[in-house]
Amino acid sequence: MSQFWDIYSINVEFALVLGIFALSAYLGLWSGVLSLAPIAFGAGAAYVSARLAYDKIMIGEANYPLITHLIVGMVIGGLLAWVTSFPLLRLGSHYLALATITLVLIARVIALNLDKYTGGTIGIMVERQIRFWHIPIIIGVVSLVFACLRKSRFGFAMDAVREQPEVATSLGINVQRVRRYAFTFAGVLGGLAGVMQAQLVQYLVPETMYVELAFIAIASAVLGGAYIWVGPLIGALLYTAIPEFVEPFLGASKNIVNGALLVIIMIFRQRGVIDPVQFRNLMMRRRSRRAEA
Amino acid sequence: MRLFLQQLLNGLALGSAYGTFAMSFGLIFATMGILNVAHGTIATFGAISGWIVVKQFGFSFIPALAVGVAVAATIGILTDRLAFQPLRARANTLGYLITSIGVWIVLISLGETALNHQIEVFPPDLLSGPRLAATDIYLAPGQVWLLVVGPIAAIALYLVLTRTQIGSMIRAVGFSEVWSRISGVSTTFVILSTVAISAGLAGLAGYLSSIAFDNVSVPLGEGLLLKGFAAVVVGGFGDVRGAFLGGLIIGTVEVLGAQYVSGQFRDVITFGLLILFLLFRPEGIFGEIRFGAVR
Amino acid sequence: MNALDCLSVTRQFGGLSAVKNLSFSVPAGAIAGLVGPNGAGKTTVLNLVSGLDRPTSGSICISGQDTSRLKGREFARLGIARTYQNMKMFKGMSVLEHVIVGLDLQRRTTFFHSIVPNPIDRKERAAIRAEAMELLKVMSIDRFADLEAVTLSYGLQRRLEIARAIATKPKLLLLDEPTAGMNQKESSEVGEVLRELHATGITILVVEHNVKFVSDLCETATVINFGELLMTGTPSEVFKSQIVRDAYLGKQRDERLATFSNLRRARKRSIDIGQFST
Repeated sequence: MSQFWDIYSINVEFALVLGIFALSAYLGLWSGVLSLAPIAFGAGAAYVSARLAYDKIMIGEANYPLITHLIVGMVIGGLLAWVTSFPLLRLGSHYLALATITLVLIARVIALNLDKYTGGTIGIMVERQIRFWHIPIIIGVVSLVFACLRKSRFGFAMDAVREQPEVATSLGINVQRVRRYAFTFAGVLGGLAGVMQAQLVQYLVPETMYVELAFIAIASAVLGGAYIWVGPLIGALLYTAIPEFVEPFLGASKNIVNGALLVIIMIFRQRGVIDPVQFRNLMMRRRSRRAEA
Repeated sequence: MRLFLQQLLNGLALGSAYGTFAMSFGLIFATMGILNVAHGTIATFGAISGWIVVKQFGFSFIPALAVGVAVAATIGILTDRLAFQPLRARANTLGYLITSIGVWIVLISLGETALNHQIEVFPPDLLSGPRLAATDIYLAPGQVWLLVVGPIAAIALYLVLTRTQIGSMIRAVGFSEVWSRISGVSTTFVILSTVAISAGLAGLAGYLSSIAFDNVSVPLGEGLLLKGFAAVVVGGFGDVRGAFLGGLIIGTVEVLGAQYVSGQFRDVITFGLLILFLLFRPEGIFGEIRFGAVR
Repeated sequence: MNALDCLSVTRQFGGLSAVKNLSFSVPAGAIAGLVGPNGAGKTTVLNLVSGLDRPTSGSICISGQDTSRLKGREFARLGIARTYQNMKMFKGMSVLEHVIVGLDLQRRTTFFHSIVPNPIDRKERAAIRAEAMELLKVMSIDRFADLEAVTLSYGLQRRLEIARAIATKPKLLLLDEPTAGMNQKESSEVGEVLRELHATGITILVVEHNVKFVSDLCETATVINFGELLMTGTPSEVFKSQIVRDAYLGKQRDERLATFSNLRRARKRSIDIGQFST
């Protein structure tokens, strides 16, 4: 058992951080916005955090505690999101999606060009302060927030904004504000995940958080089920775990199963693995069966 | 002056590659609403299959080109039938995107396996003929091919779309599949034709690029995808001329920018242009299609 | 003070005037109908009054307050609620949750109350839930509280729409064809509900095609056609009037028919082209 753990604990760590990225994409979808921007904000946050640590270490002082880096990550992520939300949220949904993909592309280019700060193609070494047990705690806190959000005023407001923005307006909901808050909060999550990701890899280069990660994040969210917060977490775990099962057969091409899995899920179960509606219907059927008996 | 002309031609050759790819990408996006992130890998397979038949079976330039285009078109049709067709009834952007991500993952894996995770090159004697050395300007034969084939493909595609019956059928199906079917258009045939043309063009772009820039690799296709995407936004969705011209603009700006501003700044200009267009003129230079604004 | 005053309201879309110089009023506490043939502009009027759209010229006053400077979301606080011609349900949300969204307007909580567990939020939510159930009972759909709204039958969805609308505690309720697609029995049920609502003091403006429904329910009826006011009066006055009958039965249509048959006679002289269908 402990051998299993030695081999796979790092996978679980990456899977859980991917889960946070997936949650950031999910939050956008919740409010009706297809956005990959949190990955770009994660890159920004990671660089700021890595740079702060680097500067400290270079002058011979001890690094800031982990919690500082996590908070810095969230603040930077949120700030970047807030600022970019103003030009971006004016766009129609299709162009908005394209613009968020572009943000991820631009983030890398900025990282390459600000090489005095970011180290350019060489990047920055990152001290790993995260212990394994930190991660479930962080996931737990994030999950708690999402669970609160679900049946909260803001949660229902996001549902209304996603489904029928006009009706939401006539019910007094400030649609743009809801979108902006969701976008910003997604940025906070992106910043958090970005800092964590950089620490897990222990090295930060412009490619650490790039389009591949962005696409995998949203794919995980949809795979796991983009209709409740548990879905993206499950999706990230599945996405990371499944290739390991086929590695003995496919070796380095193991990721192929993920691709096939995505296509299959979109054809046969497009609501994803975890579907709250199906669960609710199941519960109600059981309840009525019990009532009849 | 000589340097400027040299770089201008380099930029146009690069831009021609971008533009050819952009047309193929934009065709699918404008007519079927699918943002296919796997499209770059189709270009890669055009290059890979061409390379394989040259390396293993000693094909010459043009037969290999035909193979590259054919293989790319086939892959395009297969992925459309297997992955996108089942989704057509409930077309939504997110669904198409996730499916295309799945296809992308599969194709990248296959591509890397085919190349054994290496970067390969075509044998240097593949394209014979003198390198253009008029007035001290040097162009590799691959670049010349790009400069010639690209615009021809663009014009040809434009004419097909606007002057032929199949072209108007393609545009009709893109506009509304239901109404096209009611009008008697065989939508299956049209969709397959669109996909074949689009994928074939991508394969062409991939094959010629890999020869002109001495690089057969998966990242080649990904690079075409990113720049093609930028070209379609800058040039305009819905108009193949716009996509091709967008590609030319981006290619030239990249090369001239790298020469006269800074080597590092290549991508800054490209993606800076991209975000500016998305924010302020999303329909591009030539585009008329504008997706509905958010309420 | 009237609940609603439209003063020379015009709404132009390019060259087309959907609403042209329309002036009418609805007194506070009244129950009024807005009628007219298809395409007359009735839904546009509702959109303008509810803030979903802005007039090109003219002004709209709610309880005396001019709405030209208000943003769409501020109309709810002004006391306006509406239902829609093609019902806009929230997919994935239960019947109860639809009403909760409407009731949330009166809550004091902010975003931050939504992301951490806290007693204020919990208490408010319980109260809102209870109130939502009450509203569902009023509309007789409390049995379906936890069902997904989109699975409800047509008639029940219409009731849910009304419940959602009145959740915002409006002073003026706008209804867009609430009996569309209903039979006689269902229509009278809707009429009953609206009468009960009216008795609580809400002003109601109903856009309707159903002449009997309007006659039974409304105190006044305003008729528009091609975006212009045709006449206002009691339902019996209005539906007996020749002008209104012509509009509904299409006097202009008769004129068009006459023109077509003249055209056909003229053409038949040169070529025989078979049947014209009008």
